[in-house]
Amino acid sequence: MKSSKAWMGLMLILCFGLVLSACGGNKNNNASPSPSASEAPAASPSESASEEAPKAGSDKAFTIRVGAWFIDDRSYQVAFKQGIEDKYKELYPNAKIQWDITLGLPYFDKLKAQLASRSAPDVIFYQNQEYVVDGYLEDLSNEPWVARLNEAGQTDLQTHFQGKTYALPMGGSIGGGVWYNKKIFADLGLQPPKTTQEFMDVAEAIKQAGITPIALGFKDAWTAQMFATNWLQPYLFSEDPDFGLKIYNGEKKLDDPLIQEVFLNFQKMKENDYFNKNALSIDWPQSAQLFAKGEAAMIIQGPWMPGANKENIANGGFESFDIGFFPLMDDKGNTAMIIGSNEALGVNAQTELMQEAKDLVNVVASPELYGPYLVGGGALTMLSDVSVTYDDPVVSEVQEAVSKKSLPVRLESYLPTSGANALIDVTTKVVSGVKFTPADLKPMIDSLERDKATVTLPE
Amino acid sequence: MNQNRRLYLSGVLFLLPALLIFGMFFYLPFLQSIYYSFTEWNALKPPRFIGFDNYVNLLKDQRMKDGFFNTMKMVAFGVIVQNTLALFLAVMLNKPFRTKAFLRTSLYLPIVISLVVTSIIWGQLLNYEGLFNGILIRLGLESIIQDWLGTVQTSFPTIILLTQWQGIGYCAIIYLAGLQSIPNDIYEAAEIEGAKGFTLFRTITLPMLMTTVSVVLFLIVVGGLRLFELPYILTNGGPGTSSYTLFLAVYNAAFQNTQYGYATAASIVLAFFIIIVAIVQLRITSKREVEL
Repeated sequence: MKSSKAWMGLMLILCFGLVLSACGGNKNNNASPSPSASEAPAASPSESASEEAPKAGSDKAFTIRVGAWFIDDRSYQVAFKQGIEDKYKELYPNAKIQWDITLGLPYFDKLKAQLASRSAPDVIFYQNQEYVVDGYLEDLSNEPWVARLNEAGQTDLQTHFQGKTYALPMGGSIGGGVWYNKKIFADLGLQPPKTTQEFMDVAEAIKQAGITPIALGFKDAWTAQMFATNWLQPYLFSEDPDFGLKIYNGEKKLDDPLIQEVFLNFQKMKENDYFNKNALSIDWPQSAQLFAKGEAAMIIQGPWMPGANKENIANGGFESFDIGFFPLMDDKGNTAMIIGSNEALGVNAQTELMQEAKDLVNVVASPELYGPYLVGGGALTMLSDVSVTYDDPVVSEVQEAVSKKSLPVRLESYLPTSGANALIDVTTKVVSGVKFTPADLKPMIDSLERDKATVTLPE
Repeated sequence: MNQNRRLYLSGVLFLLPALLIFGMFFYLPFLQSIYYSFTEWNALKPPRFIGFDNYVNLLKDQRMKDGFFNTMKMVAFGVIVQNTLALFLAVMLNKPFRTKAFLRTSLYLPIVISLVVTSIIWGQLLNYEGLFNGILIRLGLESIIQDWLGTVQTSFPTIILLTQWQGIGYCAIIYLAGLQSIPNDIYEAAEIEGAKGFTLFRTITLPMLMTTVSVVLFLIVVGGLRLFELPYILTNGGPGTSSYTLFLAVYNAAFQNTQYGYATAASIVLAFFIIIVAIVQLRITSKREVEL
């Protein structure tokens, strides 16, 4: 009897302890375990930072987490990561940087869940303005690098909101365009096309030569979005920069004839076999391999393509070739490049390593790290004191296209996320071989109607 | 305190930790989900109450609609084809022959392999330049080769066939266990009466097997309704929305579109739908169960 009472007592204590531990709030979720984080009182991050933050050059040991989706084993990325670690060690000799890298789109799913559960990294690479608008990033307007931003940097949409700066734009990137194999073009006597019809003609000539005209890797859905968005851009915005706003306000509809025309272009290209047969079941690295091998003459990609292509050729032992660039165009030959930061680097507003996190961003903004990063990624500088010389002459072709006409906004700037995803659905459906009909655009129209409240209009 | 009361209290105390965990990690979040399903919530801003809008929007969402029809096709195919084939294989495997043990193991293997690994391997095999098309070319069937997972017409049927490949063996083994529990003397008595072949199967085997049929059908129906991994890894619902399933549509509503309130509403509707379908299926099959 005594032993059963003892057991009952023990069970009660265990249950009580379980309840207490489960119900107890953990206010230190964002900082990695470190002496300074655990000792900090449960005050606001800025208060604890000012009381507890080690000064630059501090010997305090801590681990700071950096989240990213694109830092892989490309040589300039490896150098970038190492450079950050080396330079940060000069400031904080006993600090450790923990890289929370999830390659590709799943990073953003994870980041949203982490931000909602207050377990996100201290320093965050990100895309899209929603993290800024929803208050998850710290205001960095007073940071020293902000004064160094050039005009493009100061007007960058995803790092600025309501007159404040929330992140370091990691260079101005074009939204995407067509990279082509100059050797194939030269062998076939082709010139970069200026109109949609010329684009089709060039593709036909390449196909007749037994080469795949355009390599697609639509298993990575963002590549489908990139192609569609960048082809919609000249049709919609080259003659009407307010087209997106008119869509939002209802003056124009998402089944506008101009939008339909772009999808009819996709349909025509598919019907004429201008895409690789496995366009929907290979990802972007696999499509880049097709391009590097010379099996495809063109690929629609972002500014990282020249560097990525060089590495693919070197690693694969393929025959080297010069790469050229031309922007996507409309029937009349108009172009309208999208320009904005591809990656942005912000500080988690919930971090308890606020000053350390800001210092890390300052480190990344240093010319010694920022410059080589731009060169590797083919991005344009957004810091006035950082000028870069690109190894590849193709960048001058990109700059020429940008200087003709470029805009910081695109159609998705005026759509909810569900609308952007509906755009991907139509694109992949048409590229898979289904004939396009205006009814295919209805999900996009419905999504704007349904989720309009979630759209943050560009300023 | 008398003995009975003490025993009762001991039992409650032993159950309490599990009940607390169940309550905290299942019951409480479920109740919270009901609340969130009536809100617009992107998990970044506080939820905003919007009434029944999420539930109404489910009926207009193309991904949900396509997901529903695909899932129903999956379930129907499973019930008709997977169930029938599994039973046929079990009856065959129940007969005495030499390689029986090897075949039983081979049939069961696909279910043991992780779905993620299975998806990745099949993705490579079914690629336009994959092994499957290579075999078709060797067989002189070049005219039918295509990107099996990259075409609207073939993406979801391919996924259905892959789930059948994985599930048939598992169901066959369950049927086999059921077959082996039927006493032989019942068959002997029926044979004495002149029954043989299909008559034996129809009058003895099938009625005695109905309990197992209930279980297998339940697994097929619920498994089909919950299909997620294969379409997520192989196609992510594409091309277009041709290979969406209900679970994938809910997942993407939450994590792609950041519409957690809407996704919660969809998952609640889905949960109740699965419960109702499972109850109806079990009621239909249990009426036909025969006990010894």
